[in-house]
Amino acid sequence: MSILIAVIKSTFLHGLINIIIFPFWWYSIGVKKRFLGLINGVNNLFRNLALKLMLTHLFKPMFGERSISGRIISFFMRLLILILRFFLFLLGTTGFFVLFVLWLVLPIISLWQIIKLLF
Amino acid sequence: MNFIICPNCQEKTLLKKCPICQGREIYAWFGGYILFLDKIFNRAEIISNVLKKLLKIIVRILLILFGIWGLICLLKIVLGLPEVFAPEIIINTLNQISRLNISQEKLLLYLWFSVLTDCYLFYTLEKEQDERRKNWPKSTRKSIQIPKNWEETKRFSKKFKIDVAEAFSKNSVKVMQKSWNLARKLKHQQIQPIHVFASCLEDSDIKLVISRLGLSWKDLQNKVTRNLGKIKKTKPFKNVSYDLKTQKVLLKAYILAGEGKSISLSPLEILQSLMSFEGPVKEILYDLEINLNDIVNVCLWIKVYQELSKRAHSFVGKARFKPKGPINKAYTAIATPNLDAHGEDLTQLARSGYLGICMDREKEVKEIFRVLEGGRPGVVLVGQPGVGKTTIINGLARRMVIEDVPEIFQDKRLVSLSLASLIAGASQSGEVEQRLQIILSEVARSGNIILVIKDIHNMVGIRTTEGELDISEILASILKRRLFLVLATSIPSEYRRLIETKALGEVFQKVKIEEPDKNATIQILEAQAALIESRERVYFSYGALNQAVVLSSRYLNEQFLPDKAINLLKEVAIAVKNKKGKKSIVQSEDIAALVAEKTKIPVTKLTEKESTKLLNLEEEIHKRLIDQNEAVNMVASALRRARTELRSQKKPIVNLLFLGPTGVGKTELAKTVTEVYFGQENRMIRLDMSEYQEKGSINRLIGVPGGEKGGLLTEAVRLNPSSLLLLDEIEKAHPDILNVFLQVMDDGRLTDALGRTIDFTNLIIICTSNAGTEFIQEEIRKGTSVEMITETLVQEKLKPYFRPEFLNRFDGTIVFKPLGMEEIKQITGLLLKKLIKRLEKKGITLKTTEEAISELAEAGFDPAFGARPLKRVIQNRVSNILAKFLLTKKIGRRDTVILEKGGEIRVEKAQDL
Repeated sequence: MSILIAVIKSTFLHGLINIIIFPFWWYSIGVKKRFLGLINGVNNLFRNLALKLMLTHLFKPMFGERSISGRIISFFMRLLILILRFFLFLLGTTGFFVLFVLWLVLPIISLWQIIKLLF
Repeated sequence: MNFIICPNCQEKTLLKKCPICQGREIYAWFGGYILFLDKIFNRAEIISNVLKKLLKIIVRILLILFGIWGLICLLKIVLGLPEVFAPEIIINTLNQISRLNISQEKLLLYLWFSVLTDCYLFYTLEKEQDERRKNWPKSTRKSIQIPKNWEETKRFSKKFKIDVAEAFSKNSVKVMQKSWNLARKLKHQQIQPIHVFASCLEDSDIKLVISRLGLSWKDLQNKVTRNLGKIKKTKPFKNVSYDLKTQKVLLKAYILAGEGKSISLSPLEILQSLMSFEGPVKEILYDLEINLNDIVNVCLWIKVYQELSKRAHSFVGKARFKPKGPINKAYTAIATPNLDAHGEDLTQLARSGYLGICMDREKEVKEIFRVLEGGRPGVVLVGQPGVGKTTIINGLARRMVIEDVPEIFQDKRLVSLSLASLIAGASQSGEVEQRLQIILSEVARSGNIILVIKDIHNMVGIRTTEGELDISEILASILKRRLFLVLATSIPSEYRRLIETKALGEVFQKVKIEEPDKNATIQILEAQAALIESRERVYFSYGALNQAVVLSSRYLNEQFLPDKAINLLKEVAIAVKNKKGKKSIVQSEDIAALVAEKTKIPVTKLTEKESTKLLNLEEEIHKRLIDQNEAVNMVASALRRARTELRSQKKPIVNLLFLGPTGVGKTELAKTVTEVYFGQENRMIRLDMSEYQEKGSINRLIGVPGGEKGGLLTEAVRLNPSSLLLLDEIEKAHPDILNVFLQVMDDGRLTDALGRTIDFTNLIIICTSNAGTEFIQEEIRKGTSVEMITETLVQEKLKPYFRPEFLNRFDGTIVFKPLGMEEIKQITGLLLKKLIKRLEKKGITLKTTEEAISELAEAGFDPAFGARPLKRVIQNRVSNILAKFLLTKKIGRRDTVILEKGGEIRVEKAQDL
């Protein structure tokens, strides 16, 4: 019986401490983690879309077509692919950013709304 | 292992808490951190643990439910907006769920609250994961000095003191709880390591280890229970506490886990730690032939499996980004129809998961990268067949798929050119060369291909136009322009002969691929074992893998690791599946049996039958051979030593020199030993040294240098590595030939003319000689003891025949005594027995009388010539006459022939039926 009481006491205390530390953790360690996740995500996206490769090879002929017409067509193809992929990259990065901003903002907004509604 | 023990507690177990250490008793030191064990997993702990978990789960569920409620409120708000249309059904269900008509305000409140609690929930989950990692320091503080005694530990702040109990995995906690329960149930005051071991046996991971070690769980359980029974029960019985040894075990387990970079202390580490301390646990396992190394390797094996499946997952994920088909990410490659027709794309195969992984050839792969990055256009991997060259190339293909390669390899294809396909169907002259030219120009233009040519030595000499360059030279000249890279493989003998000194040798850089060492081979086998196990549905014990490596490296000298070990595993899996059925365990004995079958060398454990045979060897031999006890004893002892593995493995089983007059049984003993020990008389290799009297005859023994075959001796031993080598009349051989045997008798090896090393370590070598016969016969007549005679012979009398270093190599020099009358009589009896057997086959019984035997013995006895004349006498007086009788039908089936006195042979005819 005493064990049960002791356990409940410790859990309660533990829970209280958790709630108090919550905002501090959220905005220090949490932010750091999310930021690293953001950087990683963007890097991976960049690499998987092979943007750098597309940029450096912009004037290189595709499929080894070295004729004039081949080169012109290659250039426009590559430009198109680059633009499309860059667009996808922007989309992805924006998504990551939105998530990051959400992380920063969500608790504050919730708190503010709650307070507004209560008082 | 650095332990710091509280000086106060060391002597006695105090009933009150020790004032200095507060009951901690012992600290351990680990890279700048102090480890201790406070938590004791007693009943209170177990209950509070369970309750805590329960409460945590309840709270979490409540939070989740509240989150769902928040979602519902959100939905209600959204649907409440005038612009949103939704089917009636959803609105009705929503209204039903939340019967109360809640105002918009309240809904918003609930929503935002639930958002907050969702964040809180996320936070608790992440925090818990971080807490677990806190128990494992990320880096060691090397500069800090280890404290010398208990006092100094007080300087360390709490941050640097770790309670290892916090780092236990769930299973380890269960183990510790069980051991507490066990100790309490058995009324033992202290939890000893044996309690922990007993509880470990219930863990599923440990059960896996036990089955991998090929042990019987029941056996182990029984031994442990017996051991537990020996511990004294204490009265009065107070609270159970940790024994000091147990604390040491658990602290060490933490250190092992930390060094192995695990994130939790699992029962596997506890088991390893238990094995590393002296005590009943170690002894029990030692009795079952398990030592610490075995346990470490099996735990590593289990980790390897987990590692492999993790790697496989990450591989599949990353492989999706490699483009399918011949195009690279930069879109600069061209189509290569000719290359595709004559080769296969290894990167595409790897991408689809068809190529197996390459275990740990980091050094060789780095060397390949270095050479190619350094500017050389070609690398040739040189190694014996079966050593893993193709596996390394496959491993490279896999790395290229996930782009884990230096820049010159990135975004490229690895294509293997098939020489057979290149040559096939080429009918016109110059067609092969043309095909090659076209393919190489495609490769050069494409710029994203690395060519692989296996067994490149096959290219040398292929030409279809007279007097022009062969295709290897064409390749070499194109490669010199460094337009693309080539990886090739070859074997050492062919590389030396065809590549090193020719055109290709200038362009290619050699990278040597050696056999992997024992531990690496075992890892490779562990990975392969997974495949074989799933295919054949048998399980390999760790002992089987170990034995496969050990035995194949000792006895299968014509093949190379890891291939020979892998082939052994594949074969034995099928053999065991056929013999014992599916789901059985392959033990080390099964491997030994397979190797014994292949090499005819007895490597299996001694069976009862064999043990009895070995103990009674002398008796068995004397059934065929009369007298000569010293010789028989020496041979029998040597064989016993050999079979119980107490001999040096680097020499032949035994080297013996038999001296003595002719016809006394020297060769007969050799034949007898062969029949008794090997079971067949034809396991004897007999060389008559009088045929090798010239210097040049050594070529007949070991082969002609540069020739195609080995010599008589080396071939015979190679094909029959476990037999008896009899060298008759060795004093007649040329001295240079004796020098060859010097090496054989000392080192157990001989290199034949083809450069192969023949293994002589499973032979019994017996040399016979007639040297010094007169001296022996003199001394016997004088009555000198056999030891004296042997001594003098070795020291003086044999000097003109043999060099001292040759005589020294023999394990025993045995002088055969000349035969006396008694012995001759016995030999006569034996020879007649043979005759009796032969007649038995014809249905005729031969009986002998004592007098007949004595007469024959006397007639056949000649001290100078030993027992040979006896054979002639029997032949003349008995066999010839019997032959005549048989031909004239004087004796037929069921008749009896009796040898009587005076040379008479009487026939008793059987009754007519």
